[in-house]
Amino acid sequence: MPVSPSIEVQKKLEILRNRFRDKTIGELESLVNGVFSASQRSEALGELVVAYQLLHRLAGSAGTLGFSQLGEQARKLELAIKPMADQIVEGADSEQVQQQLKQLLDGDFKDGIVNLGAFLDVADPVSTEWHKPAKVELGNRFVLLVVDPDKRHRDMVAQGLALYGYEVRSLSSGEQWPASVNDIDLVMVRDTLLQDESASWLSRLHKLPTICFSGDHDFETRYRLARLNVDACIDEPRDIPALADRVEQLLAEGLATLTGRVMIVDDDRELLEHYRVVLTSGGMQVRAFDDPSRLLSELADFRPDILLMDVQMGRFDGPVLARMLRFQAEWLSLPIIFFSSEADRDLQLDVLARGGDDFVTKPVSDEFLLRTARIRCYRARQLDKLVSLDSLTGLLKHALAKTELNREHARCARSGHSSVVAMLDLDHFKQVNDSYGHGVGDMVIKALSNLLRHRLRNTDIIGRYGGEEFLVVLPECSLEKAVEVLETLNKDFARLVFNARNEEFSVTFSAGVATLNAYETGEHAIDAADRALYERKRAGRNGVTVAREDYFDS
Amino acid sequence: MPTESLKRIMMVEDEPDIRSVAELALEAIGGFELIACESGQQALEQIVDSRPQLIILDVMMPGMDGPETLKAIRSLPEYAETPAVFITAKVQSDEVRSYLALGAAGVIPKPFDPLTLADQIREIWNEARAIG
Repeated sequence: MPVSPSIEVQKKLEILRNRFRDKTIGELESLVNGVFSASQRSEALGELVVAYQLLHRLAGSAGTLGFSQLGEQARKLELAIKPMADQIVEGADSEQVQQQLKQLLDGDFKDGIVNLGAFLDVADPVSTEWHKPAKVELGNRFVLLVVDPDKRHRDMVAQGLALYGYEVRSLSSGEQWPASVNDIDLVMVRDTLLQDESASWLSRLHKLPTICFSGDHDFETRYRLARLNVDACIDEPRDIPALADRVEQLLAEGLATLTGRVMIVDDDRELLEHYRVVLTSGGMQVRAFDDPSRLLSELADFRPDILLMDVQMGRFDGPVLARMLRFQAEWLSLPIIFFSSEADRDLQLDVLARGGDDFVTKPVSDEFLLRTARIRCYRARQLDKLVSLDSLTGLLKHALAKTELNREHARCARSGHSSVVAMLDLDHFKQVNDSYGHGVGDMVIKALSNLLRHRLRNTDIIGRYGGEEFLVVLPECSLEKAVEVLETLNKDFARLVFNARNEEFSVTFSAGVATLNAYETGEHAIDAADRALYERKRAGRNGVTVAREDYFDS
Repeated sequence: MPTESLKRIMMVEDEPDIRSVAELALEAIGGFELIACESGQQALEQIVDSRPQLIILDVMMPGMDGPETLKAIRSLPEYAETPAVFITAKVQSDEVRSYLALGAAGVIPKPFDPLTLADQIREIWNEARAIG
């Protein structure tokens, strides 16, 4: 689980990062000089070995210090010069090595080492903090790039999406996109800029989710856009909530495949360790152990997305373990994948019938293992979402939101911290439905849920409680902070402009808040927040009201 | 399960930056006591006084590398079975195998995440305790 480090730890991490950055700037300069002089003077060839060692070191350490892009880039460059560095150490003919180096410098390598320094400006986020609505330093926000020749459009998109907590940069053409700017998470581009298919910047779209602004609906155009790796088409960017919705979806698809929780049980310790390392370095969270009798307690503790298990482990039989797990409703839907050395179809079918979900035949290549695990985790999460999330908003369903709230209430009691519960309700929502139809009403509900999801922390609990009612729990949060956050959200939501029937309109919401742990049960806290919400409605809506009881308590 | 809990960790790592981050990760976040050494030589000098319960070794170090350091530590009778963890930038299957053959309890790939390092180490420790 991602941890939220204390302020003090964050500060120290920040100091270490800055120190590393300052030091590395100088080192990268001498790296560039060293490589160039090695290419020009054979006496200086030793510099190449020094360069190799530095790149190797950065590949291992930069990520830990928060510069993972620098680390990845250093790894690529390290591998490129390794053969030459090895030859120099072995005392190979220096002219030959120099020749190879010159060739390398004629290609991308030169730009690669010269531009390394730029990655020092791109640091990874330290933790889950409140997303600030505007003008923050490089934080853990998604960075979107809008490329559109029309300045009015660009500004509208930038301002609109900034309200959702995205950092938006804008350019009037793709040619202006500098090679060093590669921290972009998603691109939005006007279709006219995609006319020239030979433009070199188009290849950069292949790696990124891309939305195209295009009003052309004919088959040829759409097919061409799909071929250019465009992921989504939007007629007009004027409808910001619809655009934000698409952005959110595309970003979520990318993220879900990257992470996942995998549990592995195998009695071959070496193999087990190897699987663990491969999956961990692929970004998965892994729990691996070799003793099947610990299965139940480990499952309860780790709660994986998928379980990988050997078919035969000492006196334990994998398929029997699978059947045993299915005794508990909790693990009924857990995907179980078996490793089996034999490619015996009959045995495999038998195993599937007894509660396993799939087979992987040993030996498994590293890449296959990682891909299988990723896809399985992704699917498992999608399925889980269908079951527990509200289909319109992607937020927790009523019952689950309440379960989570009660869990947080218990957590408060255990650890003594303070948390806040809030009930939110859209104002005059019936009027929206009546004047514009339910489709538009749904869009408004989605817009508010997207806004909540983006601007609240990952650790906050957000549920759709009723039709237009939302439940929010802010763990480890003071009442003052909660009111501040909700009031900002309230203002920003009111500024969103919706489009329907050629009319523009905006919607507001009211909120009631209460300190979760000030009440005997989670239920009582919800009631108090609900009463505060009702008071807000009577006092003119559009704002945040604190439960009366909270004032008496404090 | 044995009740011995992990308190003292020794880390052998030649890079000062990584040593500082590890200090933060294991002391401030993990609540362990860390003895950080910059070389295998220094580790051997300090191990008797510091009595670590677990040892983290960088694989690639100038002079004595990680595997050599572990071999030297293993030759001390009290530390013949102390759980050891390698951190390495290269993750290849035969390599992992060779470290485990040396008696390592786990391998952590570089770059590691400072926020989860303590959890990873704790997990390896529990694992090693459960088996040993």
